Amino acid sequence: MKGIEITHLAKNFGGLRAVDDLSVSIATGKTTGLIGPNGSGKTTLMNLISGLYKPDCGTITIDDKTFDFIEPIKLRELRIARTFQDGRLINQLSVDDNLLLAIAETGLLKSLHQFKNQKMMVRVDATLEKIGLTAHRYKLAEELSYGQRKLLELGRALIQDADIYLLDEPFSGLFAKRVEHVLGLISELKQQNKTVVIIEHNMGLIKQLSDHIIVLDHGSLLASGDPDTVLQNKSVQQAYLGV
Amino acid sequence: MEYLINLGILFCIYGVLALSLNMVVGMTGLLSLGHAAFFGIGAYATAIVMTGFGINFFTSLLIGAVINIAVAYIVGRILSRFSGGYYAIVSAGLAIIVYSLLLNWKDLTNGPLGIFGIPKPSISGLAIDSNAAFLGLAFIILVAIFVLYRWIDKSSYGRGLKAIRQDEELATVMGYPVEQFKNIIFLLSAVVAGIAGALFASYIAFIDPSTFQIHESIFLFTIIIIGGLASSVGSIVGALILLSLPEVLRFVGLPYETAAQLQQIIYGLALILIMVYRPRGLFGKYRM
Amino acid sequence: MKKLVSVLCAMLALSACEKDDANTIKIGAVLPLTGSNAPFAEAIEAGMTAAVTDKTNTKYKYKIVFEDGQAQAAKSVSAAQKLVSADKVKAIFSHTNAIGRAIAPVTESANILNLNVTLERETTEPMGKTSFFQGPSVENYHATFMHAMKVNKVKSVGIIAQNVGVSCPGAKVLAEKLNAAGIKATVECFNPGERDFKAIINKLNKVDAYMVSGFPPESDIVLRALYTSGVKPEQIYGQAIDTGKELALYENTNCVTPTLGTPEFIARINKDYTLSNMNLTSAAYDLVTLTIDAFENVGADNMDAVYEYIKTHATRDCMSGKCKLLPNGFIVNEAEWRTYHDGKPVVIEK
Repeated sequence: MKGIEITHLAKNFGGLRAVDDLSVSIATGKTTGLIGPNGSGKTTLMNLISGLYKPDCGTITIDDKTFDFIEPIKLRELRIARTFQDGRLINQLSVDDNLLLAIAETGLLKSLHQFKNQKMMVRVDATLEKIGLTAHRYKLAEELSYGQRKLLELGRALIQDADIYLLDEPFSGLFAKRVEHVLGLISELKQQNKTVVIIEHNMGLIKQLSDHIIVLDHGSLLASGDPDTVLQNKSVQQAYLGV
Repeated sequence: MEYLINLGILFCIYGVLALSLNMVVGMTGLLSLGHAAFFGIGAYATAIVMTGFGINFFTSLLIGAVINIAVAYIVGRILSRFSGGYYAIVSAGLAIIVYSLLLNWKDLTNGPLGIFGIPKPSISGLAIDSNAAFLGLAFIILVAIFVLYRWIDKSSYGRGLKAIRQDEELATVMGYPVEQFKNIIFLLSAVVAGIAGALFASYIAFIDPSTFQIHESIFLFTIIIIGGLASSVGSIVGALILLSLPEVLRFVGLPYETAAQLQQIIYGLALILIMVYRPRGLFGKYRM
Repeated sequence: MKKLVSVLCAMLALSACEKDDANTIKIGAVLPLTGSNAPFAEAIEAGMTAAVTDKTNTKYKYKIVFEDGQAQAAKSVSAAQKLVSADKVKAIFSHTNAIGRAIAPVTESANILNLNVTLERETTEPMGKTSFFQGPSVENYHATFMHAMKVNKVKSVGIIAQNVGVSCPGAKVLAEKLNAAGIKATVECFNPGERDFKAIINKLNKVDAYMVSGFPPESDIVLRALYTSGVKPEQIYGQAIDTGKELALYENTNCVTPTLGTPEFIARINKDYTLSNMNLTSAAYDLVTLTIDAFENVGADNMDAVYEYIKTHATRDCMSGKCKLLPNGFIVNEAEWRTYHDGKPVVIEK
C-alpha cells in the first residue's frame, strides 16, 4: 500500500495562493478526510497530486518515489484513481464503456488489438454489481440520473483496484439511500486497507469514515490529526464551522 | 446499366472518403476541413507516377500513402495546438495550400491543365478496364475500409479516441496518450483519403486541381453530418444519399428551362429537412 | 432506401422507354447550368439552340438534352453516363478542356461524338477518335496584340493572367514574343479566388501598357485595382472573348478580341439572350451545325462515317470565322482578332 507525502507544496494562480507552502502526510492504508472552507485549496491539492496542476514548488512523494510534478498520464501506473467534483464521465459512451476505459490498454499497438474480452467483462460485471448499475449497462452515460452518474464515476475508480483513491465530494447531491450505498463502497476500501483521501463537507460522514483529518484554510494547513481532536480544535471551529 | 455502375463507383469512392473523415471528426472530434488535400495528394500521386513513370496502380497507392503520412504528420503537429473552430480554420488552410501547390507547381502537376490519360489498374497483367470490373475493385476497397473503421471503433483504441473527443484531460488521467492517439488516427485517415483519391484519378482518368478545393471538404462534411457522426453505416448511407439525390432529380420531369436550378433547390430543401427531423443525422451517435 | 432505389429504377426504365420518334437524334450537353460558370452555359445553349433552329428540312429531328455538370469532373461524368444510358444521345457537348477530357472515356466507350468548346490554345495532344474540340486561335490573339503595341509605340507591357486553363502559360508565350520583338514584357499570374492585386501591380512597376487575361470576378477586380493605382484607362487592354453587348468594361479601355459571327448573328443572339460570350455561342453553333450536317449526309448508324465526315468538312468558313481542323483533331477558329477602344474597333494599319 502507498502513502503520500506533501512537502512545501505551493501553487499560485495569478496573485492567488491556492496552496501555500503545504507540508502534510497522508497515511498509508488509512482514510483521510480533507476538509476546509470553500476555496481553501482542497480540490487544488487533489489536482496537484493527480497531475492536473503543476506545483510551483515543493514535492510530492508517492510511497518512496518523489516527484517535482506528477504527469497525469502516469496515474494508472502509480495506481492512483480519482473522482471529480462535477462527476466527469464520457457522456456518449455507455456505462460499460466508461468502466472499460479505466482498465483497457492505453498503449497504441496494444489498444488497437484489444477488444472486449472475458477477463475485462468479468471485472466490469463485478463493478456494475457493486455500484448497482447492471440494469443500465448499455445506456449512455448522458442518459443516467445525477446519482447514477456519481455511482458510475466511483465505479470507474473502483474497477481500477488502485492503491490510492482520491475522492472529491463523492456524496454531494445524493439522497439518503445512495449515500448509504456509497458509504458502504468506501467502507469496503477501508477494509481493504486502501489509502483513501476524501473531500467532503458533511461532518457526520467525515467522522464516520476518516481515520485522520486534514484541515486546510487559505491554502495552508490549519490542523491535522484524529477526527475527535481536530473537530474540537477552536481555530478549526472558527474557520470552518463558523462557531 | 453503365450509368448505375458509374454511380456505384463514385459511391464507393465517396464512401471511403466519408469513412476517413468520420475517423477524425466523428470518432475523435477533430474538425478537419483539410481532407480535400489528402484526397488530392492521393489522386495526384497516382496520376503522376502512373502516367509519368508507368508505375502500377497499387504501387502508386503506396507512394500516395507515404506522401500523405509525411504531410499529415507535419500538419497534425501544427494542428494539435488548436481545437474546435480554430482547428477547422487551420485545417482549411491546409486544403488551400495544397490546392495552390497543385495549381502552381506546373512542372509536377501540369497546373490548371490537369493530367489526363490516367490508366486503369491492372492485377498481374490483367487490366481492370471495364467499369464493372472497376466497380468490383472499388467495392472491395470500400469494404476493406469499412472493416478497418469497425475494427478501430470496437477496439480499446477507438474507445480511447471517443474519450479524447469529449474530454482530453480526463482521457489523460485515465492513462491515454492523447497526442499520440490523435496523430495516429489523423495519419490513418489521411492515407484512407488518399486511397479514395487514387481510385478517383484512375476512374475519371483525368484530374485537375479544381476538384480538390475546400468545397470538396465541405461536401464530405455534409455527407457525414447527414449520414451521422461516428457511424460507419452513416458514412456509407450519407454518401449514397448525397450522390444519388442529385442524380434522381435528373429524372424528375421538371420544366427544362429551370430544371437545373430547381434540382439545386430541391436538393437543398431535402438536406434541410433531414437536419430538422434528425439533427444527429440518420445514423448519428451524437450531435456535433 | 428501398423506396429510393425502386423510384430510381422506375424512372430510368421510363425514360429509356420514352416514346421519341425513331427519327429523332438526340444531342446531349453537359454544361455548368448552375454555379458561377452558368453564364458560359447560357452562351453555349444559345449557340446550340440557334444551330438546331436554323437547320430546316432535315431528314432527322434534332433534340438537345441538357444536363448540369456544375463544371466538376465527377458530376460531368455522371451526367454524360446518364445521357448515354437513359437518353441514348449520339453526341455529347461540353465546355472547357478539363470536362471534355473527363467525358472522353464515356464517349469513346459508347462510340459517340465528344464535342467541346474551349477557350484554350490548340493543344498538341491527340484528341481521340471521337473527340472534336473547338477554340479560338491564340496565335492570332498574340499577333493582334503585338501589332497594337507596336503601333502605339509601347515600350513595356505588364501581363496579368489568371491561373486558369492556358491563360498563364499563354501569357508567358506572349511575353516571350514581345521580348523577342524588343518590347519588355513581364507576366504575373494569380490564382482563382485572389482579391488583392496591389502586390502584383507594384511588381509590374509602371509599364506603358497592361494586358489583363482572366475571368470575372477577378478580371473586374484587377481592372479596378489598376484604376485606383493611377493607371490610365487607355493603357489597359483586356483579352476579352466577349463580343456580345459590351466590348469594353470601362470607358476608354481597350479590348483585344476575335470577331465572331456576322453582325446579323450577333444581333439575333443579343435580342434573345443577356449573355456576352459570343466566342462560345458561335463555336457551339459551328460544332452543332457541323454535326447535324454529318448526320444528314451519312446517317446516325455508322458513327465511323460520322467521324470521317466531320474530319473532311471541319475546315470551312464558319460562323465564328475561319474553322480549320488541325492534325490532332482540334478545330481552331482562325477568326481575326481586333483591338477595340471604348467599344469601337480601332483601325490599325497592318
